[in-house]
Amino acid sequence: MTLFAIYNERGEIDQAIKHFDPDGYDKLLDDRGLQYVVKAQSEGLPRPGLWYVDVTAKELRERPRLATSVNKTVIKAGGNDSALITGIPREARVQIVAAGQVLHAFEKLDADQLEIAIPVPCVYSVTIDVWPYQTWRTTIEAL
Amino acid sequence: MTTRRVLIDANAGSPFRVSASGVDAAGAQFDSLIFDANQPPIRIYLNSWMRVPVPGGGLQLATWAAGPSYPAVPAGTHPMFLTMWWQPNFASPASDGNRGASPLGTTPCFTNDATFGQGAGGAVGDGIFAGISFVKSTVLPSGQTVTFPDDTHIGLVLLRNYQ
Repeated sequence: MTLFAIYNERGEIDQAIKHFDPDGYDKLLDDRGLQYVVKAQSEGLPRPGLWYVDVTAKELRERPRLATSVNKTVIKAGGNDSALITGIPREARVQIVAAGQVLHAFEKLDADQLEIAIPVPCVYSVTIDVWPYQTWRTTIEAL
Repeated sequence: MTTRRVLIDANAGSPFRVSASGVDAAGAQFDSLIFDANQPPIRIYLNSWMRVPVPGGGLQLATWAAGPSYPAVPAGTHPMFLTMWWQPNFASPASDGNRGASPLGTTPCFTNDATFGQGAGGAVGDGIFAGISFVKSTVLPSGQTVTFPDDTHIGLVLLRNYQ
């Protein structure tokens, strides 16, 4: 099996293909003007959350991990207690979701910390995205 | 009565046929054949995942993106595909079965409600597989538009006939 990873200008993998009949497939991709890397004898498809293409080296690379952390994931509801997320890169994309609804979304967070207090008992889920790092996730439960 | 399960006949229209148990390959109907050399076999051509952008602005629009290419196939045949989709990186409590912290994955479908349209699938045509997404962004009560952190991902297997 041969892997074809088609990527965009940022190095995000737009398509990953495990090909069972790869002869001539590069020509089909070339005809469409696509950028891709090829890896022979690949057994699996790279997970988009874990892999990207280094556009300079034109190589598959593992997405690095953020050095973000949270000081606690269980707090008291009511606003007198809070969790502090630190180590957030500037201009990170942050989203806070509860009960399937987006509560807060920041396209470019202008801070490197985020303090979260929750007024009523529930669970907040927080995701932080900065390319090409892996998405950082945590949940904070208010009791 | 002779029952020949394997038939190799240089003069026949179908030179090599293998029939099901108890069926004579010479006169067997198609659904009683295990193999018929006149029928181009279908095999897995590739498997893949691809991204399809989520429409912005809370719009009720379907979006699509060109996915894997496929070559010309034998006359009278068409590529086939199997597909499913998932929406990664959309965080919520794991107890929320519909939009959990784990990526949502489902077979092709489309649902709609006041907040989220969801669904995705694909089609083959014009030399490509095209992924289609009905997953849309949402708008908070404050009026702020929220898009998903990532595109809709569509997983697929593309099969084709070989001569």
